Amino acid sequence: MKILIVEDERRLARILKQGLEENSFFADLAFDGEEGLYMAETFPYDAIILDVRLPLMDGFAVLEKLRANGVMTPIVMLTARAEVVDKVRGLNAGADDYLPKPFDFSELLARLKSALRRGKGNPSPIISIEDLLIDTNGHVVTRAGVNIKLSATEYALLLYLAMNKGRVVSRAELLDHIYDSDSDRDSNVIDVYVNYLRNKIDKGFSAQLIHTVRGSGYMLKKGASGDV
Amino acid sequence: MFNSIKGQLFVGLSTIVSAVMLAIGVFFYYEIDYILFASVDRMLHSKVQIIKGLIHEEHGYIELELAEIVAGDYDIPRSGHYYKVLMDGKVLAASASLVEQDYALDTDNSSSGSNEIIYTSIGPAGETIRVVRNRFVYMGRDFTVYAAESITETLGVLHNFKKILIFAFPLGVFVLCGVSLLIVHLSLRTVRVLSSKIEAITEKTIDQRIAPDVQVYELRSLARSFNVALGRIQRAFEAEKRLICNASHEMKTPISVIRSHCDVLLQKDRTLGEYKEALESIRHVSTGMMNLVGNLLSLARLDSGALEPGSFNPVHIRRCLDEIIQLVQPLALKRNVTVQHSCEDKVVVYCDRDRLIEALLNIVENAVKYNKADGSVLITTHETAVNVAITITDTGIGIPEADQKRIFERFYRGEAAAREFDDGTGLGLSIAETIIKAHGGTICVESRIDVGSSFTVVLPARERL
Repeated sequence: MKILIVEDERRLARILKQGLEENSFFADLAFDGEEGLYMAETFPYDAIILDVRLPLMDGFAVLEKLRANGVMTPIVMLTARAEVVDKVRGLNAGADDYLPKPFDFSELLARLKSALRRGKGNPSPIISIEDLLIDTNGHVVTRAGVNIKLSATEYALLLYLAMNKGRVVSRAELLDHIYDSDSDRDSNVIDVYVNYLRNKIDKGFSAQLIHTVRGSGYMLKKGASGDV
Repeated sequence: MFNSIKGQLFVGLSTIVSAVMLAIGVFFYYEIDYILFASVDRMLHSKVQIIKGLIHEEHGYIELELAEIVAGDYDIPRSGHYYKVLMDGKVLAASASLVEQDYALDTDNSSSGSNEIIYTSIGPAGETIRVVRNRFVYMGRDFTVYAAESITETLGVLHNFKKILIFAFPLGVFVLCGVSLLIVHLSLRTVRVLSSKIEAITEKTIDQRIAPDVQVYELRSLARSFNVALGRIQRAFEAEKRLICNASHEMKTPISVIRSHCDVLLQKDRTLGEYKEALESIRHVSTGMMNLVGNLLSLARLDSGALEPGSFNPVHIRRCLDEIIQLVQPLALKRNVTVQHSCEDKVVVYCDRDRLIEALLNIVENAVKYNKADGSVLITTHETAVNVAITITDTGIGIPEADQKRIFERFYRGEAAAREFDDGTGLGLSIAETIIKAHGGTICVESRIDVGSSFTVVLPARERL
């Protein structure tokens, strides 16, 4: 899951990025409204954390522009102004949630996850495909009741596929969503990680869940064979 | 009693109206008295003339033809209408109404100089009568003609009028005062309505105003003055509220940074290096908060009027500038900026020394902070008979024109300032301006992007009396 953080207080932005990354998210930073708008429109993010008071263009304006341009990425707004009118204005303009400063990081994380789930049309924190269960709160993955240990990248990969279950996800899209923009990008890495994941999830089960769609990418769904 | 509008009105009105009514009453009493008596007298005079005309000589006898002129009134006994004619002291003729022909219509028999006199006497019925006596000589004989009329009715009219004066006029005064008091009471109701409206204004409804046009004419100026005062209070109140609101808003961001640092760090065990880095970051942020709190206190003190011209002393600007340069030196060394002044010894202004240094230091600090590397800051002074101008010129990044108007606003920070320095509070120049204005001075800025900015502070050279 890749998150865009638009926040002009650089120290706050950086610590949020660190916190998110330690929770299997990837985060890009924008320090003003115009940069945030450009990045949100240009790169595919799974969610945006948007501060209200920003240089060059305030958060409300960014939000309104994004929604007007059809960018429907879930947005959690952050602001030091806790007045109800601001909250209402933000939510009316299409924000998915609104968090007043100062906030608990765990609350931000919970609200972000909730916004992500709702964005994907699945409000439950537990994603299930057949007997595979992903608890997005505790980062716990089980298949047929057996706990499966995953690395952070494997978890991020599985989560993205699970969030988009039943849909073919290309290697490029996976790259976009499970690495931040500063990382070296090599689509072979995706194949390697998908292999790791397969070994941990599908190995020993008759029903394969991770499918390779030749020439397109990967898809998580219930099905008989490994390849389509 | 004299402290109330009603009391003043009551006393004032009753005194004046009583005096005027009394004067008018007395005047009318005597005027009516005169008119009534004059009309009676005129009538009697004409009757005397008629009677005189009726006396004539016939065949050597003097006669008075009565029947032709006598109306019924003269025949009815004691009717109140009488006449009598004497010839050489003897009764020649008298009206039947006199009953006794010799009834004396004279009160005094003195033969006064004039032919005709008028007097008041008692008639045969015991009534008060008015008598005209006319003496003349006709055909060598002395004649005296009396004509008399009862004036009981006239006196009755006067008497009634006197009664009215004595009883009805005071009553009238009393009623008039009562009615006036009632009107005043009703008029003052608008004052009560106004005061209840004013009473209803609280700190939450301080934006309300009294509509002057709805008030009665006399209260409009009061309503307007009240609105003006209310406006001033509202502005001060809102400035205070805005300051508190802005202050808490400004505090929330650094607190968020500190909390997020703590929350994220506490998620799992960290290396010593990570803890150290986080603590340094938190320390940096708390320094910014400390500046903010200090500045807020300064502003609160200034807003509550801590600067009184009475406490100003003569201060040598040169020594202040020396001190400021010393204070700013660590920052200047770090940024490799030179700071100099060219102030002469004897320049003096009346001011609160510490506050003036605070104001100038804020400006000089900005000049160092937003300067280019290897830049310079020059402080010059210019003294005239009435004021001293202190100009702080830097070779910095400059201030965009749109920002120049706003940099003195509380919490306003230019884009570049906010980008480059995260420990600023957006209050420094606002504090400087507040201090300088409290000294009766002015501050202004000229700036060109990438060339530098120049702040000029003008202070009055002498104490304002």
